[in-house]
Amino acid sequence: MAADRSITRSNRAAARRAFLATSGIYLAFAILVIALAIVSPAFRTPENLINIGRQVAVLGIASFAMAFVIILGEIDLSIGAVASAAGVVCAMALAAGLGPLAIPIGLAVGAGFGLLNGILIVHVAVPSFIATLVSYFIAQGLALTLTTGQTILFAADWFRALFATGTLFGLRSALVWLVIVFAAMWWLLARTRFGAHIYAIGGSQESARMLGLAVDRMKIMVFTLAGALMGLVGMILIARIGNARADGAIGLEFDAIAAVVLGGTALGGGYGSILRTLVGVMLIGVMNNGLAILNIDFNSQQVIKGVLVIVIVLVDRWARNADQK
Amino acid sequence: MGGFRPVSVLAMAPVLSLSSITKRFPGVVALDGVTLEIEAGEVHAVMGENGAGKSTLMKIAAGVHAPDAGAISVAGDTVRLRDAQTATALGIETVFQELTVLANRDVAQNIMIGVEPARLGGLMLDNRALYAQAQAVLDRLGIVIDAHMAVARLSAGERQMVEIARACAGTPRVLILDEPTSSLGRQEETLLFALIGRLKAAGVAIVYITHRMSEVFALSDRITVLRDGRHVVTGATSSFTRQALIRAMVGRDVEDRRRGAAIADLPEALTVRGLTRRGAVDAVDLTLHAGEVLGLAGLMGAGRTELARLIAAADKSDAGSMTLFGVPYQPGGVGEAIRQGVVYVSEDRKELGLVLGLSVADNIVLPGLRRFSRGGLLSLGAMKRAARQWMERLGVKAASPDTPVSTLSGGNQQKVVLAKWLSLEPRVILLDEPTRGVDVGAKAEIHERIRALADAGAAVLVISSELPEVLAVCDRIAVMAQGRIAGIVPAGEATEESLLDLAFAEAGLAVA
Repeated sequence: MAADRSITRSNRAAARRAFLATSGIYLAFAILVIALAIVSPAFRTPENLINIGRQVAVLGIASFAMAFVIILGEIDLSIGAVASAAGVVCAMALAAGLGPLAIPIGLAVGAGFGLLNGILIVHVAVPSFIATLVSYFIAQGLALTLTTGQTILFAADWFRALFATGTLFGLRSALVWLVIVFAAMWWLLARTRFGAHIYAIGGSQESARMLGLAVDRMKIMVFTLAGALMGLVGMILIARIGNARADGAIGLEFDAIAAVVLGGTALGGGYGSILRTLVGVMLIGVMNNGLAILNIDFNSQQVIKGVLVIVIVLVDRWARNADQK
Repeated sequence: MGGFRPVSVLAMAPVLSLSSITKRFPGVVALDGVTLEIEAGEVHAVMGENGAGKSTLMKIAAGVHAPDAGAISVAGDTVRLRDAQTATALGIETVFQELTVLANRDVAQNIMIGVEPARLGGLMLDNRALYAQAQAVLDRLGIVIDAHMAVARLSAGERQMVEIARACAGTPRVLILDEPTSSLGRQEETLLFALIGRLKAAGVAIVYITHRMSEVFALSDRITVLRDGRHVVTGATSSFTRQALIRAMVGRDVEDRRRGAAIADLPEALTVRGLTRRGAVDAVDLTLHAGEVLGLAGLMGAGRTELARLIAAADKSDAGSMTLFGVPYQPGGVGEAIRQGVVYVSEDRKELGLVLGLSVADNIVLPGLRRFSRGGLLSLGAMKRAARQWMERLGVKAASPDTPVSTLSGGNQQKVVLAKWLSLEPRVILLDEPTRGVDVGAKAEIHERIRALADAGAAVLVISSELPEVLAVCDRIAVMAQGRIAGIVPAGEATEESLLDLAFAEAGLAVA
């Protein structure tokens, strides 16, 4: 028994080391926030912090979906286009007076594209990079065709309140959705058989298949779930501004991939967590907000963002390596 | 042994029956009408050379591959094994040769995979029960591993034991063990053999694949031999002698083609002194003679590939020196090593050895492209002529030099790899697992080419995990254990057992 306990104890020490090794991202986040707070008085106002929270709602939900897909060992390039398309269809449904029915319609558009991704990957056997690129084109084409390049207006204050502008316990509803999705996705990944099998498949798809896991069905489910979440993202987007455009969320996939990678999730699959993805999301959110507050023009912002991403990844890697010595 | 047979209503029907199974892969018939019947409570050894079809047959029984023809029945009922899940549900558990342990998960998560204790249909994992149940399985089997351990921190042998624990976690009716001892230490081996005894007594049918003769004779009740994808013979273990078994596997008496002459009289081609790479290779001394085939045997992770990579300058050494034909040899990289006539042929021909999308000819001339270049332009005619010449010399079976390499069989791909490197006319050739995944016929041909290379004056180092292979092809055999040379023996005096003894030797016990 004594031996057993010592094994457990050394395991705890290992866990502590592992935590330290993965804490580089928190360090980077702290440095960024402190630096911005010192440089910019506007950054450290409470209003601005709430503002950041609202801004990261869309990116957060998209990044949680992306984290699932990446931990599974796949990639989803379609999320921005799918969110845009779902937003457009939902706005048209609202404009047509369908009322609450617009919500399941928006979710179904997202889930439908996710299902298409899954079917292309599993049954047509194309890599997810290609399959989701196909969905990206189709979703974008659909949104452009439906809008004919115009902005779709709708009048539904209840809808805007539900998904973006309302408040619950003092939180904007967009932020409430982020919290709900965060909790659900964290639970799903860390505390369910479904989540355990996502890690297993991401660790080695071939092994998982030989071990009897339903790899194909899991892939279709994860992509469909990611798609449904993009339906939600599309609705939050149109609720926030009160109209829908075909390019409403274009490029969201890149910010989401950046957030997931900043959160330490391995692009090869098998490793990663929703909590750390949230930190990655906050990093990107704070970065975007800070750069805007410092009155840096958009084009330079993009360059600085690129440089910051590589700096943070290097800090993270440095912390990991420091642990191994 | 085996006096006990559990009485069952279905006593007449074998617990697992594979009849007339045929399986084709592109370019090769892996199994050709093979029948195998496994009885409850027996240990059934399936023997055969690499490429005989054993692993393919096991993967069909495990539901991983679907047969092209044939029928499978479990306890008399015909079944269709759609996937691994179906097989597991029928009580067929498999410990695969290529470890399926997930390195990104912990021990308990691996053992309980697919049967994780949970409530609400899997929506609430019961982690306490997960670790408790996994630990109970480990304890029951006598495996001393903490269920919380990250698999990434386990040794190859421990991972193998975790895999065995996973297969035994439920209540298997049939347990398939595909070369389970290849990465086990002695203690773990003893544990496994005891476990097999207990399972057998409980009526579990065990299919056991191994290359080790001693294990087969000690453990099994019956033996089935496969060769070239065909069933050769099935019989009680007691009806086989060692010689008869080898003959059944190889299809002929194994001839001795080893060099009789004293190796010491041959000129030294490559000497290695104190070569070290931290954590992998530990102060290795080795002399390779021109005209000699030196085998490098040892367990997985003993440092054989690492040593070859140091010699080929694919990795940097931390200490040590080398000479090449008496001249100091300190290549700065693979390119320089190749220019000095030292080539390393990787064990993984798909990853490192071949460009699958290119033609046979393009692959063969790739490393020596410079020689076909005239002022920056390639002479395609000369390339094709050279390629055709090498194809003939090595007996590459392809429609033309323009055939894409991806369409060739494993054996022919391996010959293309050899041709590619031999076209550089190296003086020292390091071959890493030159016949892995190659069928028996091509294997014999490759062995002949290796001998011919040495006879033509090249110094050849052959790394192989197949002891029969090193025993058949090499003049001397060096055995590595834990990064060190545990011993060097003339092939004529070595047996599989004596080599294994060396491979398991603690570092520092070296004898020569």
